[in-house]
Amino acid sequence: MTDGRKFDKPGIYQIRVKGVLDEKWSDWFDGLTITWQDDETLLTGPVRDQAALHGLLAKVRDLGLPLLSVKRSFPERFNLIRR
Amino acid sequence: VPRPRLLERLDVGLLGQSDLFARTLTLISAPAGFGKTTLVVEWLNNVEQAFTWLSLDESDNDPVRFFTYLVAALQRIDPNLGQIAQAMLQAPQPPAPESLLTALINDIAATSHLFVLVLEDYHLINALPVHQQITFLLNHQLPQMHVAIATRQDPPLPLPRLRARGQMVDIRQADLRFTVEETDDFLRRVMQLDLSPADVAALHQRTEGWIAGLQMAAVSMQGRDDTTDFVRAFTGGHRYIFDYLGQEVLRQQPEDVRRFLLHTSILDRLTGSLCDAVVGIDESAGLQLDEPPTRSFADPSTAFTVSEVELLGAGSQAMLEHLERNNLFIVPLDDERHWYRYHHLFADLLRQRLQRERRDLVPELHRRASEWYEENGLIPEAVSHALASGDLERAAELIEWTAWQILTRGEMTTVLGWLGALPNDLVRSRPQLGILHAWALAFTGEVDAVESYLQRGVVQHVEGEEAAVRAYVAVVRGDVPSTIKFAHQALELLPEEKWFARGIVALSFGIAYQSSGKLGAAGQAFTEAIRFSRATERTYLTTVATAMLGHVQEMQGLLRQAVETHREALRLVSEQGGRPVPFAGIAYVGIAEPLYEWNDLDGAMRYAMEGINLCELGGFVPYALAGHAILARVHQARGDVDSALEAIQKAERLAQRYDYAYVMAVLAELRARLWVARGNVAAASQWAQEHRLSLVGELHSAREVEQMAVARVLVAQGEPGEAVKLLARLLEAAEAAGRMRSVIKILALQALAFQAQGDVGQALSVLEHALSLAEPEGYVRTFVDEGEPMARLLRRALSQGIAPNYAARLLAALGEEVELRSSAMESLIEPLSERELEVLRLVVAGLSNPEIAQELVIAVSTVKSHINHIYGKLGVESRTRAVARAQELGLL
Repeated sequence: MTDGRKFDKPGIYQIRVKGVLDEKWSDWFDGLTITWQDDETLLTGPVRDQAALHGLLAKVRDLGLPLLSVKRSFPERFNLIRR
Repeated sequence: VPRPRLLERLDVGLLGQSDLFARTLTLISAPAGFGKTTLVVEWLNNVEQAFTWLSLDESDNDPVRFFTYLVAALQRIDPNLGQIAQAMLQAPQPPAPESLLTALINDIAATSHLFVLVLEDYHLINALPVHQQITFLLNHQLPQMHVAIATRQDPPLPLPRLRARGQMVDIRQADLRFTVEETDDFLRRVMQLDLSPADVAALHQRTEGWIAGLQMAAVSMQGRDDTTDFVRAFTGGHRYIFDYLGQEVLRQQPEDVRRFLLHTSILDRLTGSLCDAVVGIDESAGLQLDEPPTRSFADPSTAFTVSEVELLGAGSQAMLEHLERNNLFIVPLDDERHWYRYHHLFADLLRQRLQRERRDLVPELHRRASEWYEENGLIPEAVSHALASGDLERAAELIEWTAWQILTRGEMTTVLGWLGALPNDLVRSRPQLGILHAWALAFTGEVDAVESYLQRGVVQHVEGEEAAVRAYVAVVRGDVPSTIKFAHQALELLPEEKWFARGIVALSFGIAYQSSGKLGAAGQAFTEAIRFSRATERTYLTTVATAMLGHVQEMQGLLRQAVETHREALRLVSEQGGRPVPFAGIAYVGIAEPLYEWNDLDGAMRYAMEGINLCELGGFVPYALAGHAILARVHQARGDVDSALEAIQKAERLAQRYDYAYVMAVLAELRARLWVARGNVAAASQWAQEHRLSLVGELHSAREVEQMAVARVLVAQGEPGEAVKLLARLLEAAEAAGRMRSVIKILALQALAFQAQGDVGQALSVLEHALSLAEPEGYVRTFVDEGEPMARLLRRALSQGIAPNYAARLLAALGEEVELRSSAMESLIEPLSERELEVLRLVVAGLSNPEIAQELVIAVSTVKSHINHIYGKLGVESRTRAVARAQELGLL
């Protein structure tokens, strides 16, 4: 288990939505990287804190993109994976 | 496109018996572009009931701002709704939300209008206090009001409960999607496109009945011959349809339209001259864009017929109308077409394009918008755009300029939000901002956080404001010495024109002086506060200061002048709109007090009750308590001990919660008086014993009333000498402070103490002094409430020719009381004997049969037989009923 404070710090998130979103939307989503899997879009990258995450989810909501999943990997784990 | 299947669901169960609303809530919850707003408009145009519309935005997360707009929306239905609440909002410290909402709900419950309240874009609300307001309204299930909420996400309201009780209807994404038939109707009939059934079916499948998507597709296809190609290209891919179609729509536009759309996308609301300012059109010179306008049309086959010249000449207003005519996702916000907004989804698309294509322009566009708003006096909007432009210096300047006005309107959250958006260094470099922050915190009750925003003043008038904030904080904390110290500093340092701050300082001064018993100084301070607050045209401050002055005059013994002052306060309020507002409650209670003293019990009761209602509504607890105390005295004067006790207990519960020492003392005095009157000297003595101890050391003037009660008990328990000593001390303090009402009461008690000591000469001389002070202002109850001993002393005075007219009048009032009581006795078929009365008194005092037997030195069996006789004569079966009956009849 991680304690709640861990979520005050930036974390790497991956938001999966239905539909193919142009990578030019990256800026709109605070610079998250846009990739695709079939007809789904993955928005991946660092998110500052929980408030920022909810801001991103509101943008997903406002564009009417069906939300499929949200995943978080903590930076240290992410770094391990990248190595 | 008419949507009977949805309209029917909206109508079913809406109304119940006698055509009132049976359903409380309609929730239309779906993502953008599903036609929520269109559906609500269509529905409301088809129902008989009136409706009022509230479009929400981020700034409505300030609970006061939201409430203000809510009331404004309701007043479009009935101008009487929310008037009291509006007046309550004038208080510098915002009243408790429940008080505001209760006042509003009372108004709605009383209105004869039936209406639907529409809350649009509710997803923009994320502030819990606002959700709580709506929850409060929904929980009251007012049959006159139906709430319709359009939102992109389910709001945190008690939806499960409403659903379970069948009091709400949901319309959701799946319901709102166009069916194939609706798609066909829309594309072919409404948009007048010549499409094959197969194309319609393909478009329906690709968009899944998403209305905004269909609309964008339709706009893209208008004027095109190759619609089938378009449909094939569109339906063939997987690309996010909104992105795809948005691009198509924009590609269809001439360059200047496209540019206009992108540049104005930063605006939440659009109007001609604002757009002119933002896109850079000078009205006299025609179109002057930042760059030479390229007027190439992206698609030569465009359907738009408006000539470039037309657009150039007429500026942005013509452009807005052009956009509306061509279904370019723009919504007029008023019938006159002054204000528009883009469809939210479309605005998001445009903003995203603008970011992508001309990110460098964004700050400049916001700066222009901010300037336009500033020139047009819409400062809050100017602040928002200045913050968005990144020009924080400018934002800070605007905030300094306008925040005080916003603050005095009660929108603390707005001000705190702005200040929070500025970096700390900037706030620190501008002392005025620190002061604003301090005021906003003080008014929201965050008094502990205030100090950290002060101590930065270097300029003189800022020092004055710092001291003013500190004085206000001290008065809220009940810290008299600090209040006086800081208020002095503030008045000295504040510039003359800082009227509101001066008014608050003067009021703080007055409250501090009043609570420390310095009435002359308090009266002066309140008079000053009235003068300052009149200059600001803030009815709240003026009324409160006037009513406070009235209370001071009453304490000074000037009953007539006090009533006159309180009536003046009420006049001030009635000039505001005719209906009583909560802070008028202070004046109502203020009038009740002299009326009681003049023995106008009915009048006192009426004013006290009205005052209590209003004060409780407005959260003026100490004055509500004073009102309860007056009620208790009226009941007691009428011999209705039960009601008197009830009023005391009610007030005690309230007072304990708030820890008001002064009011507690007033209530203790009433209780002690009641004990003495009912013959329970033991209880009274015990109380007096406990409270006499607190007399050691400095005599606090606020406890004067309590010590007077101690003196009364001392006389009753046969220690008049002690009473005389205590009263002499009280008298000295009261005279020194100019508390003439107290002086008269103390003298009356002293006279009785001397009489009890057997020193009739001294008693009469003190009484004569009391009467000479009391006669000009017509005091009655101070003497009458002392009962038979006072009657005896007055008869002696009359026989010696002391104040004969006045003494006779007081005796007449006392006689009435005696008569009242004896007539109650006569109403019994068989009157109680002296012995039975004696037993009854002990029963009322709470003694058991053996205790009574011991007290009267008789057998327990005799007590029982007395009690049975009493039951028979009073027509009751139990001890408690006997007590109640005896009190009803005023037998004791």
